[in-house]
Amino acid sequence: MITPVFSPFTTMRPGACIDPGERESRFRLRLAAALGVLQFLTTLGLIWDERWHLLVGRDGFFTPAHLVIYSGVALVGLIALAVVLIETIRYYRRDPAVNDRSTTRVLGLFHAPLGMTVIGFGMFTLLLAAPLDNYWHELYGIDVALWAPFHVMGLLGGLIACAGGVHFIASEAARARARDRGRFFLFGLRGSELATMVAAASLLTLLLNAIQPAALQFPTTWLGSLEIQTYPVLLAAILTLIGVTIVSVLRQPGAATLTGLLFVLQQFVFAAVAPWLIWWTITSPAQLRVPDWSPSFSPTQTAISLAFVLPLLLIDVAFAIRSRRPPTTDPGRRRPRSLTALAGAAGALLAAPVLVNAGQAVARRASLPVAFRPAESPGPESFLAAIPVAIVVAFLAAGLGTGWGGFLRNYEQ
Amino acid sequence: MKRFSGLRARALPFALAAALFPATALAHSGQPVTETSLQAGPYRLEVATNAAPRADQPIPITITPPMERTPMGYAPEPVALAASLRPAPGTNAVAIAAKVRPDPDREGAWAIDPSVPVRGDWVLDLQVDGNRGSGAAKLPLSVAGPAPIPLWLGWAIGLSPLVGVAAFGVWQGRWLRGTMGNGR
Repeated sequence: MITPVFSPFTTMRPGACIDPGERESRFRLRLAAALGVLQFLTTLGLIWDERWHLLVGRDGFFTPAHLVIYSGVALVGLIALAVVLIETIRYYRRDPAVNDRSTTRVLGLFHAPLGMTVIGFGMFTLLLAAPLDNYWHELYGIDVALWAPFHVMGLLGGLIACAGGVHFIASEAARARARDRGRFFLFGLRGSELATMVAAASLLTLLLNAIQPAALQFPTTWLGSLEIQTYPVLLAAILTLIGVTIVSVLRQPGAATLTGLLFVLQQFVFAAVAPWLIWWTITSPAQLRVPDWSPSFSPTQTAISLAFVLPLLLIDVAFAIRSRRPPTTDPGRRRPRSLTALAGAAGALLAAPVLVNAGQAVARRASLPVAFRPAESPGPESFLAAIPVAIVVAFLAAGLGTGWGGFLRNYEQ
Repeated sequence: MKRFSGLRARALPFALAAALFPATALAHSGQPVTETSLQAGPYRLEVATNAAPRADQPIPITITPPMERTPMGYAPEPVALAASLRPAPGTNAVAIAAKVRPDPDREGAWAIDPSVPVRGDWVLDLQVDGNRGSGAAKLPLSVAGPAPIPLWLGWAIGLSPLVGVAAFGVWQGRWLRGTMGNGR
């Protein structure tokens, strides 16, 4: 039964009736759009901050990039908190659109969309990391590596929030599929499903950003007495996880590749805007501390990020091949997809040397501060040793991605 | 009685502010921690550090210019002062500007309150210009940091969100299974 219910979150004509579930979905989609914009600006601030650390040097906490990052973080966190509180109030007032089917219980008291709760926790973690990171810089200098305790804590907070964002929008796509709703379609995908790919591309941006030090500063890792290259293993894990997750959620050919292309598009935007932001906020060129590296946009260097699309394309091909096979006799059982795992590992192992060499070529041509200089290039034997490890890691990532993707496909809360 | 209580409640913030005012007023007029005489060309400067330097906190420094004889007695010599802070070799940081302003507590003197972002050795560079020409001087500063925490504790704190995520996942999983079991 369609019940007219007053809501501050919709614009209703007098006398109009609207399904409460539809009303709630519209509210959440608008919220997702606003959070998506804020998340994009915060990520832009992060890229800007990384360039600032390298080219100008961290001269204090309140740098322009930090202001952008933490303003975005605070706004997203406050929005998440407000939504959790408002949805909780609406739940206890028995609003028909807010119930156990559309929300999840948090800490025994609150009722809110799960994705929004996770976003709030992620932002809280990021905010908590900020003063701790400042403290760490006071102790150990401005050129602390990205893989320092409170940088990692901040990255974890951002990743948790991004994962929450993927979940939030994927749950709306699940609701739309369940009710066979959707006014916008492209490539056979609903608007909310396309938004899920955008959110996944943002998560991919943050994950690949987090493993950058593995390409330059920490190129090898010791497993007992075996030295393996770090970057190919981490790349296999991340690209397989995201690729398998997105094909499991959307079950559409090309979804992983399209997500990768959205990621590349984001890289072009960040690479074009970040140098301009640095030039806009420094008082004079004398502030730039790397003599032969001034902020600029290089389309050819940015185009190297297309190498990340290769593993995702292979995952799509593997998924398409697997989709032609008859379904398993136990549809409730989630099994790691061997072919997609192998595809992810193969793609990552092909892409990693290209990406590492490109990064090293850029880093070695400039007189970088000591902490940013790349380590000695690893030998081919460490790459060969990384191959079996990357395959094992890709299998684990495929299993995790299959489980997470299946959960996202069906979970409406 | 209620009216009197309301009056006391409104007066309390003002009473607290009044109690704190002498403390804040006296804070700047405490004894300096270090006092140094520097020669900047033809000028002799008296430089006082009014608190032990610590990272990311303002370092209150007072600079008294040389005095000159006037028909009315002695008065501060009219000179212009510029200051900047640079890290000494071994301190991983970049130079920062130091804003010079008139000292509100001492006529003719200047106050600088730079805040350095990193512990270590720094150098305060002073440039003086006046009727007798120009001069430069430098004051070494050893800036302490906050009490350090061990690396292992830093990583334990840094990775603690993963514990929160795991705990949240277990908790939500139990609730979800309970919800599905109840058929809701």
